[in-house]
Amino acid sequence: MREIKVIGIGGIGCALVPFLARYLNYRGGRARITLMDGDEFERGNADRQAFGTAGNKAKVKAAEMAREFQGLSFRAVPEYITEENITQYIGDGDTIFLAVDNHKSRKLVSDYCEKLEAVTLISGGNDYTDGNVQIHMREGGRDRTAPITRFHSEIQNPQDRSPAEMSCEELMERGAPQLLFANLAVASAMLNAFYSLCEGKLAYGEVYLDIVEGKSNPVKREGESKR
Amino acid sequence: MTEPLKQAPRVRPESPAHTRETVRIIYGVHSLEVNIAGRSVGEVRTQLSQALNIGPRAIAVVDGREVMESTILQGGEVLEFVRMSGEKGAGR
Repeated sequence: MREIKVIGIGGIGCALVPFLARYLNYRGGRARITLMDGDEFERGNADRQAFGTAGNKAKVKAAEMAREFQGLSFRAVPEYITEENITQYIGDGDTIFLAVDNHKSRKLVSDYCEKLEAVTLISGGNDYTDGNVQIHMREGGRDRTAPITRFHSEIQNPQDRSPAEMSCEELMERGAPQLLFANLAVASAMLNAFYSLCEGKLAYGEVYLDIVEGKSNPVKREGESKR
Repeated sequence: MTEPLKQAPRVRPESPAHTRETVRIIYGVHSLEVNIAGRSVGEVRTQLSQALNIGPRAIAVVDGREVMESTILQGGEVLEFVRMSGEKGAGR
């Protein structure tokens, strides 16, 4: 069974999951999708995020998807990814969609993925009108594309904190303004990369996009052979 | 764009006849091909930093390898100043 993990069910994750589930449901084959997020959906987030009810984002979205796509298996993990739980939720052979809002969590997941024999990590992030998607593939204990920390010092040496490290007050106050369409563009680029991978046609390791300029730019990110 | 690079002859990226003489420069969604072979990475960064809004911490990569500012560019190479990743995507 294909194991897919979606970490972060916010602006990007919320846009990504229904299309990912629809694609997998009708593509055939067995898949289990694990949705992971410690955050609660509140009505105030409804400008960018679609949830039918208030509650933990992973639980609410997993329940919605399970009702709609009965050919797939869904699991909700109502926790943020941390050093303590990462070994429990990420394993060899996983495909991970990383849609978090901080570099600390990106580094945590990336560093762990580098220890695995085989993994596919598709990480997306955006600012207000632009963003990027990085794809780290490992096969047979070797990097086929570069880890997401390589060339990106902001992820290698993150200056921010993960939500698991924040107080309730800090969690309430965090968050720069975001644009729904930037979230959607990044989610779409993550799914485009996944599709290309499934078809054996992925030709880049990172793609940049800007929704105002109407541009995207894929770049190669070689793995170990270039080290 | 600064004067020296404005004056450098631009070519269309799809023109294969020029690829051995020019350097392709990438920063985020921006990509241009310029006759700047023989110049250093640091020189190009200085000249393009304002035009492309290149971040001061952006790592320079030539043909997939991280390079120093003193590296001299050869025709046909691809120089990328790696744009910082978007940070958000979840949030509240």
